[in-house]
Amino acid sequence: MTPWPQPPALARWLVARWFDGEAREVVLGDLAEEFDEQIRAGAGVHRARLRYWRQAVSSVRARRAADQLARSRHHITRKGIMRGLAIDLRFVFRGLRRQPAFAAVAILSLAIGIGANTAIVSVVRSILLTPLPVDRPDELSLVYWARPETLRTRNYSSTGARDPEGRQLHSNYSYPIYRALRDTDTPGVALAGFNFLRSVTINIGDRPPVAAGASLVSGNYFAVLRLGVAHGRPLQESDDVPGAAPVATVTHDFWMRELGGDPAAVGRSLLINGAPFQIVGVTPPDYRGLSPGGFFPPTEITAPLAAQPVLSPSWTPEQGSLFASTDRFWVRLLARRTGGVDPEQAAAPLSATLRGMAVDAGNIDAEDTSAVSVRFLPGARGLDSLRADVERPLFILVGVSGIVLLVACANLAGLMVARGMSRQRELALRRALGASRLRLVRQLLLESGVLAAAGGLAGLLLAVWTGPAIVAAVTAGLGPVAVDVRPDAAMLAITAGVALTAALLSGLIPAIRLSGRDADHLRHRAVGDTAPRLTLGRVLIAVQVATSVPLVVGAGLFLRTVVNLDAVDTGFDPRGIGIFRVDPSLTRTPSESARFYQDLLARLEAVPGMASATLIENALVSGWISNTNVEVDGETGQMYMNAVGPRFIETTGLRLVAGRALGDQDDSSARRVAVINQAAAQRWFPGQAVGRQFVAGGDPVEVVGVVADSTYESLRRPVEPTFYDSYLQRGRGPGAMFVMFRAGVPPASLEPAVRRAVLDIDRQVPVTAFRTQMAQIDETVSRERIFARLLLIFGGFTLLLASIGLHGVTAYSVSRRTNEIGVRLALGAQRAQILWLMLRQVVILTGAGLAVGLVGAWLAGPVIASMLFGVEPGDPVTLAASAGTLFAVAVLAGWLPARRAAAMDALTALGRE
Amino acid sequence: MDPLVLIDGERHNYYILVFMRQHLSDLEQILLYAIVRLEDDAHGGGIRKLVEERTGRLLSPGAIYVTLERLESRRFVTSTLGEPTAARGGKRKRFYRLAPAGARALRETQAALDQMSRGLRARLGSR
Repeated sequence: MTPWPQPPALARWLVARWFDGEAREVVLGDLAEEFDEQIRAGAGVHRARLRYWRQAVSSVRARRAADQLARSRHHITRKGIMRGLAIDLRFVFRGLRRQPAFAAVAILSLAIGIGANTAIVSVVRSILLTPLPVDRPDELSLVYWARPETLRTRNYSSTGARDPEGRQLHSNYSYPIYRALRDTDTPGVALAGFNFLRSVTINIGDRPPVAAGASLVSGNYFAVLRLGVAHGRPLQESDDVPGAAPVATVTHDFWMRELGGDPAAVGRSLLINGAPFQIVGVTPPDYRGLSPGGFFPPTEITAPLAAQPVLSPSWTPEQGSLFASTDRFWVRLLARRTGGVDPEQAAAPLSATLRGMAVDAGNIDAEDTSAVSVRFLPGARGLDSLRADVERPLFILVGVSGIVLLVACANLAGLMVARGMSRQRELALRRALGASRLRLVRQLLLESGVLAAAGGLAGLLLAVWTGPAIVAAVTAGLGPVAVDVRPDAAMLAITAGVALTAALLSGLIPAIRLSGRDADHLRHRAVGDTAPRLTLGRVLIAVQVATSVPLVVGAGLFLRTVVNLDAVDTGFDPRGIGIFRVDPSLTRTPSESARFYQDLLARLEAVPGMASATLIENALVSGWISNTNVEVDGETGQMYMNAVGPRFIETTGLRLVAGRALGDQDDSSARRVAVINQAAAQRWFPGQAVGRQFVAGGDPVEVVGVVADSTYESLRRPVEPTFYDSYLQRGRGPGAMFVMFRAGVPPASLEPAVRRAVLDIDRQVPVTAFRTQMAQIDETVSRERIFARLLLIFGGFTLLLASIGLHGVTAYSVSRRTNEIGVRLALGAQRAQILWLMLRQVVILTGAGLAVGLVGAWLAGPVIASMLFGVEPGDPVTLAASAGTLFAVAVLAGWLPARRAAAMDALTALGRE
Repeated sequence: MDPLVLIDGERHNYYILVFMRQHLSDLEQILLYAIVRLEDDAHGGGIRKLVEERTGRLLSPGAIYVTLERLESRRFVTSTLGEPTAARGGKRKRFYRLAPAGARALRETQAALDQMSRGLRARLGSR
């Protein structure tokens, strides 16, 4: 007997999947009954199964359609906060989809506000707050000492600082004092020595040399700092003894960039300043030495103090060793205090040792020792040479981004209040139907929350994208800076925090405001002519206008600063000049260096397109200067100085006013001569200057020429009395110099030829800082330029938002008062009167906002004063122009809808009733 | 969809909506008439057979079930679960009865249709 046919299993499964419990049983039962019926009726198994399939699919479709319908009402049967939230959320999304323009404006403005804040707070965090990547950085201190008046030392790579009482502190110690301090018994305190080398020359294999920042450190430096290594081993005591094999560690950045991230690079050898060093380790990824940039560039090479004779030969005294010298101060000190040792207590024995040693060495007078004391300064973040330079610009940017966020929030709050007004009926109805006020507040906050979340997401992208640009903005002109702004958990947290603040700021006011509407408003609406006046929305717009004022004023001030800086006459012609830096003295003797320079100049002048080439100690308009004490006929004072090569006059294009220029004949064997600028001639040699003498650094110098004044340090500084002397007549021979050349072609196009020329002469001298003189000047103005641009963008943005708000409020008011306008027109009012009627509130709101904003701008003035040039923060022209621009834009925003009101005809207006 | 349902999740609002919705779709009318006609034998399979016989329209068990489920939630029908029978693989079936509210709704819908169609048959043409 053939078995009774069965319905298709797959179809059964399908039904079972979509129906559950009793429904599954009933439906499957009905389907089975129908199938049996078909078989019994002789329809055939095939047709019965086909029909079963059809009925099953149809059943499932019915179930799904019913479910979909129910899902939109499901809250009916199930309660619970999450469920309600999901429904509210869906409702919010639906509402936003219905008003894409509102959503776009809201999200975009929040994205800019949140993005700007995230980026800047992240930059603040990484520059100002990130501690050194070592264990317990809070235990670290930098050990300075209060210096007395009578200090007789020669200092290398030293910097000052001030203690909390404002006393001048000194950073350096002689090597003998450093050893003695280390050996002083101070329980709970470990001392390590270090110092920075701005640049060393690295040769890896046959590749062209590169320049790198370096640190010299004591053998216990890694141990005291508790700095690990990513590969290899740290430096240790046995590396820092005379005669030890020369070794160094490289930073992770350097290892990745120059050594291809190859673990086998550990153990390899490279040339530092021409001497072979073995790489023994790679430091962890975030470590870049104790200075993130600024005065001391980030460290890439770390070598023992014992390597000083090779890595920093210029510090070595004429006789003897730097390590034995008691008057040369070149070692800085780092301390780790463990077990909560009191800094005062720890400093006492160190101070005693320092006093004794310094007096014995004759560094200070015996009766002056009371002033000498060791000071522990916070060292968790290393040296703050960068922080000091960027704190102010960062502070300004924090303020600016805060304003932008505030305006964005005020704008969104205004939009939501306005939108809420049109939803009053709905909200009131819901209140009447029993929705709790809390429930409505929650939903309105959810709406601003959704917008802030979307804005936050977009803002995060914006922050990741603009973070490096902001670092560049605040550190422009400060040289290499090692600051990471990477999207990480902290950045996400910052974004979330800012977005949440934005959501609350923009959502709370409308939420509280609107949720209070009750059923009374239902009746009001029926009357038609009592639409609310949007007082809150108008206040918010006045706030927006007020907060945009400082940004617009700031943009104006920075624009004028840039214009003023661009207009500064440098005195020389920077166009067509190229510059780069070389330092043969790191690897060559003084006489070899002098020959290198002479060869180089000769070769460069043979390069096609090259007009002339010279040398200069400090590049012009670079922020770097040299100065010295001078004595003229018994009178003492200071003069700026700059060592230069032959053909300086031709290359710079400066005018020779009197006498002669410097040339190759002015070498170390000749009498010391100098060319002075006109400012120096007026200050020191009124009348005839050529042929006169002055004393600089103990040597008599004869003035042989006078040149026109030119900018030296920066565009912001007035021309100082300056003398130019021959690079061949300086000290023990030429050190690092800039080569300055004038070309008949774009200077940048000569870079390959220049690099080849240097390589051909000496394979161990890297070309660094190649740039055009124009780029050099631009770089010193770039911070101001970037600020002008940022403030223009942000100011324009806030102005745009305020305009959108003004436009909205006026449009609303026009539609609200249509009847009134009709009546006025019917009674004979003029168009101009109607226009004014509508514009009046725009003028009042803008005026109020402007008044408050100008006071704010005036109060904020001192903050940016030091970054301005040739314009005061309270500059009346800028204030007036900014206020005028704001006012014009605001009135235009109001005029567009107001014009519509004025163009209405009385019958149409009344007919709307 | 009535917007009231969308703006709030509170239970009572739903009932406001439910009681406001009195009209019946044609499928609902057909099912209610079938229940009346079948009296004590008004279950899924019976209803399907009756509707197919009388209208030629094939309803799926699922469609019948979810529609009646909805009508029950609107208090238009009541139902009881039957005993399992061997014929359906041991599965129980559900029996439906018309509720007073359902009778009223059916009456009103029919009356409305009659009012609207009165005197118009001729214009719709005849078969």
